[in-house]
Amino acid sequence: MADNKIRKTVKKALAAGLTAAMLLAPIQSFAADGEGTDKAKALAEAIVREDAKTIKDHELVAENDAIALYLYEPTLSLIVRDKKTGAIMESTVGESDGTLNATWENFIKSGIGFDILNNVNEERTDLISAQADIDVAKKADGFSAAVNLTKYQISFVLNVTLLEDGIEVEIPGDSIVEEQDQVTLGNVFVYPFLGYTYADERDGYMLMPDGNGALIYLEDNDGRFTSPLNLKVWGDNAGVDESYVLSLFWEEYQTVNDAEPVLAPVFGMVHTDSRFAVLGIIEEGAEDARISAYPNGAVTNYNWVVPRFTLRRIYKQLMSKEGTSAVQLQEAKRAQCDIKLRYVFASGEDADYAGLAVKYREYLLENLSAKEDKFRIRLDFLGTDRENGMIFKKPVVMTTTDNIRDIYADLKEANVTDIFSIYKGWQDGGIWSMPISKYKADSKIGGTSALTKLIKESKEEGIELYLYQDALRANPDTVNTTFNVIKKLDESVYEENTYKEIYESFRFQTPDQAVKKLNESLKSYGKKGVDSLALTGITNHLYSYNYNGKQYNRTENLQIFSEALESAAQDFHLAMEQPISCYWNLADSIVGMPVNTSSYIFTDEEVPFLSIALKGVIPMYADYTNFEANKSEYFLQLVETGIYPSFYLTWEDPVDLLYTNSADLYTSRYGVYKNEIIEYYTLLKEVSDATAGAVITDREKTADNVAVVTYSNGVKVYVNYNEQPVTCDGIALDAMSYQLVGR
Amino acid sequence: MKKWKKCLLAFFSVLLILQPALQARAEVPYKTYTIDGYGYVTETQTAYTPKTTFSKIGEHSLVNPYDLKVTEDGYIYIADAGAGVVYVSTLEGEYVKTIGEGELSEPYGVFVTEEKDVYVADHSGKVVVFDDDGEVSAVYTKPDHPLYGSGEFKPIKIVVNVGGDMYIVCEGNSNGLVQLTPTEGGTFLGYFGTNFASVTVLRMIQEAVFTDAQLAKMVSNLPSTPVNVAIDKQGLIYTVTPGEGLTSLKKLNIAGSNLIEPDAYDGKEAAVAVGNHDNVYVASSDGYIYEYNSEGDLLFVFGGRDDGRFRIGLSRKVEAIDVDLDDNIYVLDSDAGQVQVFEATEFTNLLHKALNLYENGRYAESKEPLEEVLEMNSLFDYANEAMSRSYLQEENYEQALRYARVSKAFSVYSDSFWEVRNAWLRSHLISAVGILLLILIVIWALKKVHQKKGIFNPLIEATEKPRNSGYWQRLKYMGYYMKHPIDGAYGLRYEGKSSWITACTLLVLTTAVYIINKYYCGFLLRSVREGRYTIMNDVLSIVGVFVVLTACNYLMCTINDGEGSFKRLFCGFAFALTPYILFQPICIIVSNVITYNEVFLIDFGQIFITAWVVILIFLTIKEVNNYSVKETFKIIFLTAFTVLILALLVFIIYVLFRQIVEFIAAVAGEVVYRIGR
Repeated sequence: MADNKIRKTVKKALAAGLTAAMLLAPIQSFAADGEGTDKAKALAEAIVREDAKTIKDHELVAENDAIALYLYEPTLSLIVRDKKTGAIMESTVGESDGTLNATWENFIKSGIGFDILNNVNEERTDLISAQADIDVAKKADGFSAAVNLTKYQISFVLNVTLLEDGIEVEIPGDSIVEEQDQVTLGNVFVYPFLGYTYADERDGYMLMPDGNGALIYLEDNDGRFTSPLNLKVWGDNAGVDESYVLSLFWEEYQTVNDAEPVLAPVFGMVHTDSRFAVLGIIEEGAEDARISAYPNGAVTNYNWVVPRFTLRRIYKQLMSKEGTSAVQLQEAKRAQCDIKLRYVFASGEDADYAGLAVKYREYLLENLSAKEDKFRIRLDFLGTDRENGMIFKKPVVMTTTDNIRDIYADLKEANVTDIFSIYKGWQDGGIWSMPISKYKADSKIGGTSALTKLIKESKEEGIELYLYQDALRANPDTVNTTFNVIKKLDESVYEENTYKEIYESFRFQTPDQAVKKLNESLKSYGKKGVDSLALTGITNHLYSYNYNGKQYNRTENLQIFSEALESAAQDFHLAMEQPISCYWNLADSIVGMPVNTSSYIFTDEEVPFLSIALKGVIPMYADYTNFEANKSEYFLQLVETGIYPSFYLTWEDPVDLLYTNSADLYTSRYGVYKNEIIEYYTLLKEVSDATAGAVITDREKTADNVAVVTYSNGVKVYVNYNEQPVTCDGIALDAMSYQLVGR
Repeated sequence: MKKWKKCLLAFFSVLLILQPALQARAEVPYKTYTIDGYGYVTETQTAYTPKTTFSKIGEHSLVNPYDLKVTEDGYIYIADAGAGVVYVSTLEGEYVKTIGEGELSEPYGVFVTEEKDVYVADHSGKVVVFDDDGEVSAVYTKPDHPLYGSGEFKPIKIVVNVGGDMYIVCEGNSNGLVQLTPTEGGTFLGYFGTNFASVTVLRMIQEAVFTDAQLAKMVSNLPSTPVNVAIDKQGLIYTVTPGEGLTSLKKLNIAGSNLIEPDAYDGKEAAVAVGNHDNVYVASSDGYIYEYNSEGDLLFVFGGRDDGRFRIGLSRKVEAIDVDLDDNIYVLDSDAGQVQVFEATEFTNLLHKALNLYENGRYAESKEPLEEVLEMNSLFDYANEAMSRSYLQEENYEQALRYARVSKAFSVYSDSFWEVRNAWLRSHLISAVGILLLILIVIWALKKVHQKKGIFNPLIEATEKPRNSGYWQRLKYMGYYMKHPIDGAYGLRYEGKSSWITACTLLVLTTAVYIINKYYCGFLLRSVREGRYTIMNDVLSIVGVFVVLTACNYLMCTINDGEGSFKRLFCGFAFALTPYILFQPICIIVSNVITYNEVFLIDFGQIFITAWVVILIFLTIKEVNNYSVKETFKIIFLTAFTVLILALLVFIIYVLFRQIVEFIAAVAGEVVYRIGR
């Protein structure tokens, strides 16, 4: 309700402003000048030249060569100052624009914000509104604050530590004390306004971890947005989320593609005018976090990006099968993880998304050893699927082991040898026969021994052939799923609808069961010397669930999967499909790396943030080229990002798949794609060879739509996305083409 | 360095020729579908990607935009009812000018002629015409012609033909489009493109039974009003009316008759536009955008509703759609107050190229782009069908047959099958006759030898026992029953010819023939989708119907002095199915080798079999129960009534049972919840 009111107020204010602007049209030029001075003033305020002891009531608590940290104790507000340039970032709003109600007025002035659950009601609050009792103990490299929200009798500890190029903020899980029953911490907003800006006063953008990377410009939106962009870290939670009403086409088909999952829990705020940028990295507590960007117009006139940690949620308990009656309940258990964030700052030349991506790579490399990143073209094959027969399901065979051997031989003649392959639908019963618990190939593709032979031969040829395994899902039509599948928090069995005809829905196994089946299969592979697996399902799904009357959360889920993957990675080469960031150190390659974003209406520019960070660290394979409608553009994006190309192939014409669950595979015949594969291979290998062993150090997009990517070995890749020839840095670029410079 | 450049250029040159601006994002939030021969949708490549969105024309935010038109010289006219003006902008959304300030109050619709005259449908009750300079050149208000009727005049959409005649969609006017000609300050020419009121069976019963007072209370059954209109270069008028099924999209010639039947429709049609390739775009208010060819075959459907996902390309409430010369689609979302621009992908451009050639009758030339389309999507139905027609034209019947089969183009399949079969007959007729003769000779010879030497005696002896068994004898009785039903029924009653096992065998055979007929009759006559099997349902329905009918009939007979027992009736009905069992297989075989030209053979066969079975059933009831003809008719009607009652009973029990289950589940849920606390 309150939100709505605010929105209305904001809308009214904007409308009033707009009317005023229209009335003042004749003196527009003057107004524009005024705006310019506003901008200059805002920028001037954001730079503090001299090394002050206090800035805007904030006192210096810690400093090093690069940055200084200031604290305002009553609200735990921080100011971070870059010592080289003097640029500052504030974490709270000093004086608001007077358009907000009391709740928001306090919220924007408080270092931490909360949603408190009182029974089944949720209240937005903050340190000021909750009458927090704060006790700060200063330390050499920061401070520790004991906070007691006296209004709700909830207390916790906040630790802030200065690091070499940033700060670390932590709320230890075991420091949280909730004294009242049913009055608990719901959501925690950590430094929501760190680096905020007002309307279009400042230049810059927010960085969001959607797909490969998305930017939201800090410009005046004229009230275009009324709500924030919320991204759930590491994807949806199957156990609880029903975030929108499904509207199905013809009441039957799900026509909206799923959004790209958030693989890395990062976000950023970049001030391009003062050349100061911050990258927030969630180190602990990402399982139940979401990252929200509030561009101006969404609730307030400020631009801010915030990590929101959900410790407890309210859910609906269904009382009848049809869902006609239900009660609301508080989750029984609090997520038992710590909240820990690292903010890394970059200034000067590095203060852009590319600089932040480089910082993120440095952060990742603290715990991750770089893998061999050699160019390979990914050629995936579909073995068999099933269609309905008169009485039993009957196999539809698309690509046998012999077919694959022929394809490899055929490509070898064209000098296509560096191949990475995933064999899907190899298992007995076809691609949707899940879970796999032993190494048994479908007899229609040649049987187990033929497959083993193919894998051995491929290895000798230097081809990496991985077996595809969904270790999460169970198909109710091929296995018994009465037990060991998850129920949602509301006690209903989770069903993943396929919107297809043969197998209508899948279920998720409990983590224990999934790991058990995975381990059984691993043992079975081991016996035959199969050591390369392409895993999916458990690599990018975490869920809260009910099982045997107990509730489990994503933290427990994550722990089980991590351990299982860790032990699997010791004996097996693992390719992972869109793995969440905490498994990257276990994966030999990332499959299905997003090249674009989910195209949210908020997004102003798509940037290859993740691929800048990961190029040269871990091989990345793109989504299939088959299904791209604009192929030439997609090709250029592959050149630019260094993500390797992928094709989904079958030997037979995919017309045969019309009556299977794979009916959406409408183009895949090898014969059709052979020439394209050879072209892609030749051209992209040349690019990759030029940048082999190097990482990306910078990337920018020029005003005339040319992307320039700089590698650490000095090679620059110029990509012209225009349909006209363009000259950039003295280099002539044809329409829709690229050039390598500095080889 | 030079070499790779050439490579790349060669690689993309074909695609680049067709390429419009390439600012689009490759990943789009919605799936794109096309339709298969059975009318079901299948996924395909993205046809259009979201290009840009604009919610402001210069400094003017769109308040309540209701209509938009894109002109060939590159301007967009947007009627904003909230602001009471028409904005003119460039295709990029840059402000050009405002029309009608102070003149218009609620501009709901706008149309721009080739001479740049701007016609605005003002909801407040007038049509205002502006010249190119924005000056009012004419105003038309409610026609005072007696034929116009007493209804209000609330124009919401308008198109104008080359002669200057206006076709106006008026809110709440169920007579159709109002046709005005500019002479004498607006002369009413009549109503155009009227929809018809649908009359349901229920409605007919209600009208027959209800009193006048009751009828007056019901919602009046007026024809629905078109909501939007478009006009093409030839002056054909396109209208959309939501919820009208196959006539929701109409393409009307000058006489007002409909030339199109869309093979897919939405139910919430809101806007229509004519494309550059004789294609038609229809947008539903939920944001789904349909592209049809000139005959109403669906090429693409994409887009969708933004229900809180905040993804580009989805809409909240679409009011208008138009397309520019580069095939960019402009969709007006009145709820979000914005114009969303979609641009065609490489795939769509390829299809349009093929479409242009094909629709202009250049079949051979269209084959190349069509083949490319099929390489990118081998399931693309429209392309498959076009290929089949092209091949038919080229007299390559084998290929035509193949593509027609995939795309379910039945008439093409029939024509090419005729030719293929002719060719086969020509080359094989002599040898076929030869083989037939040879077989006859061999049989004749074997018979002769057998007569002399008795070479088949061991076989005859071995099968003698089963042939003489009671089961076999009773089964053979079906032949007799079929020919002599009255004697046959007598046999059932008095000679112990009835047997459960024989009847069940016949029932099983009937089911088998039914299933084979359903799934394996000729492609042209098959009524089920390929690859879809519902065997259990088939078996249950055959057996179920048979048993229920027999039981109901038996029940009625027992209380009407019938003499038949349940067993006799059951066996009699089973025997009555004999013609179906014996002759339907012949129909099945024949159906596999015929075309539409000979389909009457099958039709005749079906009538023949059905009539025979019906007569047998009638006689069975009559003879087994020893009824007169009149009594038999009576019993048949009573049986039908009993079946109806039974169905009702089953339904009631089902509903009650479900409620009990629901109740128990709710109690259990409550218990779990209480214990859980």
